[in-house]
This record gives sequence, C-alpha cells and structure tokens, in this order.
Amino acid sequence: MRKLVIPGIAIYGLFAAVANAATSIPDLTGFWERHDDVGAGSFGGLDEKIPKADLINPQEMPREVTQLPPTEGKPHKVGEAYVVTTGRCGNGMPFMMGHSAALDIVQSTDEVLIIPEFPSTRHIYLDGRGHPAPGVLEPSNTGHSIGRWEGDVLVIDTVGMNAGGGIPGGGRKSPETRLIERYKLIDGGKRLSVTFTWDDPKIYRKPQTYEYIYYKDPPSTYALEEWCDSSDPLQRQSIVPPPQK
Amino acid sequence: MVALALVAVPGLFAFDGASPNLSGYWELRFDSRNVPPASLLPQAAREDRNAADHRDAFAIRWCHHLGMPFLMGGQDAAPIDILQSRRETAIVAQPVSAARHIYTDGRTHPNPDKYDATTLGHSIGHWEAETLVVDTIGFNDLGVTSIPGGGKRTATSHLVERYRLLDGGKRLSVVFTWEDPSVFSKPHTYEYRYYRAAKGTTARELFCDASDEERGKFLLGQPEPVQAAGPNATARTDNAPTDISGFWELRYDSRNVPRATLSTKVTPVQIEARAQADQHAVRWCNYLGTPFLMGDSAPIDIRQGRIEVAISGQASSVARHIYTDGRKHVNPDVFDNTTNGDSIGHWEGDTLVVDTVGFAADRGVTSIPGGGFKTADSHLTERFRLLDGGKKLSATFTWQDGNVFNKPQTYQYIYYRAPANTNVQNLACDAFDEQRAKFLESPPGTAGLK
Repeated sequence: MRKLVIPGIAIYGLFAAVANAATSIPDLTGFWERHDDVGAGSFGGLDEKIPKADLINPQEMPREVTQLPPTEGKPHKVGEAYVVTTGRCGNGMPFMMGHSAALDIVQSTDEVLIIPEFPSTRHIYLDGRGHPAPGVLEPSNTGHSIGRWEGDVLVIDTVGMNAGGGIPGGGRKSPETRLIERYKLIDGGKRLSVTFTWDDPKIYRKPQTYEYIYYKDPPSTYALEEWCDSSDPLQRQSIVPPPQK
Repeated sequence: MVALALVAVPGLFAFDGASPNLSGYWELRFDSRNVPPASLLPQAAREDRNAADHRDAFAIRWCHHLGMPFLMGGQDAAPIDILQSRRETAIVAQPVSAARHIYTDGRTHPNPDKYDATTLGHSIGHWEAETLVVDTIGFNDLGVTSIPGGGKRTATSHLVERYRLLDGGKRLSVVFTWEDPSVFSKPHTYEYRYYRAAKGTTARELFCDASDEERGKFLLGQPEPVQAAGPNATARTDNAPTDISGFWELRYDSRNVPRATLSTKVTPVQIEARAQADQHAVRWCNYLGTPFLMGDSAPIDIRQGRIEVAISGQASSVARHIYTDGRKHVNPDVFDNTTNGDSIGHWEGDTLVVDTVGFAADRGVTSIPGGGFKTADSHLTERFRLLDGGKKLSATFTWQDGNVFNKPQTYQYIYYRAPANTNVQNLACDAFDEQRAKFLESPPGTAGLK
C-alpha cells in the first residue's frame, strides 16, 4: 500500500460526513491499516499482548485441528535456508486481518468487501440471507460471512473456515468454528475498532476475544499487490542462518 | 478393506454394488483442464479459424443443439448432471443440447447406414474395473463442432472417454481421446477433472431465444472498439447514474471474441512460451489477474462503492480496484506493475468506462482472449453497461499494445445476473496438492490413473 498525499483531505472528510449523515449507516469505506501504537516493535509484538486462548485439552480437539495440514517446509537442517513461511499463497482468516498491509473496505448496500493485497477477498452479505446448510459450501480460507448493523456497529458472523491455527492468543479453528466481529468507527472516523470473538466448544473453554485498531489511510491511497509465488523457492525462506556448531 | 470403504463412503458405489456411482452434478473450475494442442492433418490445420469460429457462433446464435464435445465443458458456470443406472448413464447439460445416453446394457453400435447421425453420436459403455469406458461414433457436423485443443467433430470422428472417480468421489476424471482420419494425424487426448458441485445444486433452464435480435447481433456482429481515454485520463467524481453491483456469470452464449490481428513482432516461440507460463501460473496457484478474472466460468462479484468499483472472482486472483473518485493513474515511475494493473473509471451516461495500465508482464495468466498476451505496455479500455432492465451486463474490452497487436483487439462479453443468493467464495488452490500438480503437469490421462 502506498499513499499519495494530495490536497483535499478536508473536502473528502466533509463529503464522508455528509454521506454518513444522509444514510445514518456508518461508512467504513477506505483503506485501513494497523499501527504499532504501543511500541511493541512489530505486529507479532502487538499480537503477543493479546490474552492467551483458554483451550480445552488438545487430545479432545477435533483431529483436523490437532493435525493441521502439513506445510511444504521440510524439517530444518543445519546450514539450509531457514523456512519461515508456509509457501502457500493466499492466506485467509485470520491472517489477513492482522497483516501489516492495508485492508480495503468497499461498502455497498447489500454487501461489504474486505480486500487484502492477495487473493482472499471477504464477502460479507448484508442482504438478510443466512448461512448455507452445513455441508453445502466447501470450507474455505475466508469462510462464509453474513452481517447486520446494530446501531452504528457492523456485526459479522462467519462460519465454514478451513481448519488451521494462527488465531491470536494461540487459538485454532475448524469448519465448525464461529467468528463474530464487531466493527465500529471511533475517533471521528479516523480509526476503526474491530473486536474478534472466536467460539468453538470443541476447541475453546471460553470464547477467545481480542481487539484490533485500524487507522484510516489518506484518500489517495491505492492498493498494491503482495505477490506470492509458490513455485519460487525463495518465497519460502527469508534468511539463511549462520552455520551451526 | 473394500467392504469398509463401501460402508464409509455411502453413495460412492452404485446400487448394484459393483460399479462406482458417477451420479451427481459436476463442475469445471479454473484448474480443471489439461488440454494440449492437437496434431492436425495439413488440410485441417489450414481450415480458416475465423470460419470455424463463425460456424460455432452461428449454432449458438440460432439455438441449435450444441452437442459434443461442447456439452462436456462449454466454459460456463453450469454444471453437468450425470444420472447412472444399471443399463444406461445419462449426461444432462444446461446449454441447449439433448441429453447424452450411454448404454451400458451390452448392446453394440447400430449399423451406420441405418443410423441418423447426431450432434451427440451413439454411445455405448462398459466398465473396466473402476473406469467407465464410453465409445461414441455416429456424429454429424452440426452444432458447435470445435474440439478443445484444435480440430472439429465430423461424421468420421470416433471418441473414447474414460470416466473415473478420484479423491474419494469428490472429483471425476474424464479422459477424452478423439480419432478422425480426416482431422487428426494422431489420436488427440485431453483430460478434464470435474469437481463435485455443492450439495443442493439444482438444474436450471438456460432459455435460448433465437428470435432475440439483440442477442443475434451480439453473437454474430463485430464488437465496437472502445476508445481509449489517453495517458492523462482521470476518473470523474460525478454521482454514478446506475449501480452495476451484483453477481454476474458467463454462460455458453456470453462471448463474442474475434481472432486478434497479431503484430509481426509476435513469434510462435513467444506464443508457446506464454502458453507455458500461463499453465505454470495455474499449476502454482499464482494470482491469475485480468483478463482471466473477467472470463472465468465461476460468477464474479461486482460491488460499487463510494470511491471505487471492486471486482472479485473465485479463482486465485486479487480483487480489481477501479477508482472512480477523480484520481489519475498512479505515476508509472512509482507504480509497481500488478496482475490487474492500475484502473480508474468514469461514467459516460449509463456506461462505466474503465482505463487500465500498469500490467505485470511476467505474472499470472497473460493470455488475452482471441490471441495475444499482455505486456507492461498494454492498455485496456472497458465499457460496462446494464442491459435488459439490469438482468444482463455488457462488457466490451479493447486492448492496445503495439508490441502485440496490429490493431486494437476488441471483444465483448454479456454477463447474466446470477441468482441473488449466490455465494462467492475463494476456491481452494493448493500448489502442494500432489494429485493436482501431477494432473496439470503430466500428459493427459497419465496422472494417477490406471
């Protein structure tokens, strides 16, 4: 994501305020990104401040959750490049919501899109539909999301996600896991609070809840493409560790 | 072991307990096809491709029975429906076509002199272990006759298909082998791997109205080139006069794609290299980008927001961002080219005009419909307009690139509005799925099949 600063931010803000007043529904439109506003040093550091998930005994969890799909990364051998990513492109939930690159929110009457810089666009249906019956949709990396407005809060309900890990606080997910998110503009629309609550009685003793704060980017911001090529061995490594003794 | 499998996967085997049960709805996805170029006899290779295109378009325009092999994969979102019984297997498709009847009761082909040839031919089948082998002759040359990879169906065509369930019944491999002494210098083999469609899939009637003159003009006319807005194009901030938001799908009669007039700078070696790069991109789940995203068989989702129109597909692509807030193109010295490029749009009456530059030449699928490929110098202009009271969306695409085309390449799609409850989801693409990788990298019919 890059920002082109052009005059007119004030005009834009006025326009947005008028639009909001006219529709009475908050306008989440725009590019949003997380900042390290507590001096954690990294996004990983930010996530480390999230309370640990209260998980049930792993031996009682669903098999697909405890035996996650293998990554392509073979066990690390001394002297080899250190594999730090999975090499699988197009990470969905929850990775995309915590990523450093900006998220683009496109809001229309019936649907909200949340677009990352890679192929995991979230479709939030606001047209009153329910979730499909279990087994109808294949689990996917972003699941199936429906939303509704509760006053000035957009509440999103997501199911049908692939099994996996990566939930901040050490949680996991299965296709039965439910995620509830609450989106609310704060600070006059300059920031966006999103509260995530993960619930799955086969995984959590109590729902895992945490909050992310996103900052609004200037209106001249445009989307980049975070290129990822699974065929490129270099994509699957970031550093070569020093020789081990 | 076998008995356990039978119990564990109910419905995988047919009622007689002997043959796998192929019944169900099956759909093709972006990574479902392994189609090498056919080896054509000289006279078949010389056939004017424009004439062949016109012949197929004529059949679609007049709602003729489209027949084989179109029925098995016509580049639309509609799944085929296979109904298997002990004595016969039927295959029903949604585009205009009779159903295929594959007789498995031991009969032989009829005497050709006493058989009226059809677009589907006469099919008989038998089981070889877990594979249904289907033998078809008795074709005519009506309907859509083009065969994937090159060549056409004729009265002397002979088709052998091999159907086999894979992945516990979630996928279906069909290996097609065409022989024809008037078309091919050697048998032409390609493979499709269908995905089992979602539970609850039902048949839809794609009504074909030959009396619809607008449809006729679209299918047999020449798309009007779209004028490019020029290097200093800007988006306008006018309020949008209409809303093109919705789920849009391409059907069998949605495309009017003339052959491109390529520059003499484009060499066969270049074209072959680009084709291989495209295959590599699909195999490795790369971001496929524009124009692939706009022509995919799965529905696309268009959402018109306050500052941009976003277009999202289901295959492995980043969403398109078309900014309509008055900005200019990003300075090319600053912009890192992408698979979708940098798009700005403005409204001209009820038409959304989109101007795109900044394509990455070495990423994703670069093929352009009709021939040619995109480069870093490509310039795409699109015009989107609702038709038929909002039931359809016309999109005209014009590509300009002096490195590739002698004249701008213009083609047109007409999308149909998909049902309101359409669910657009990110289709799984696992570059490390060995079966999938072998299917896409090996010669058709050799990966994971006996």
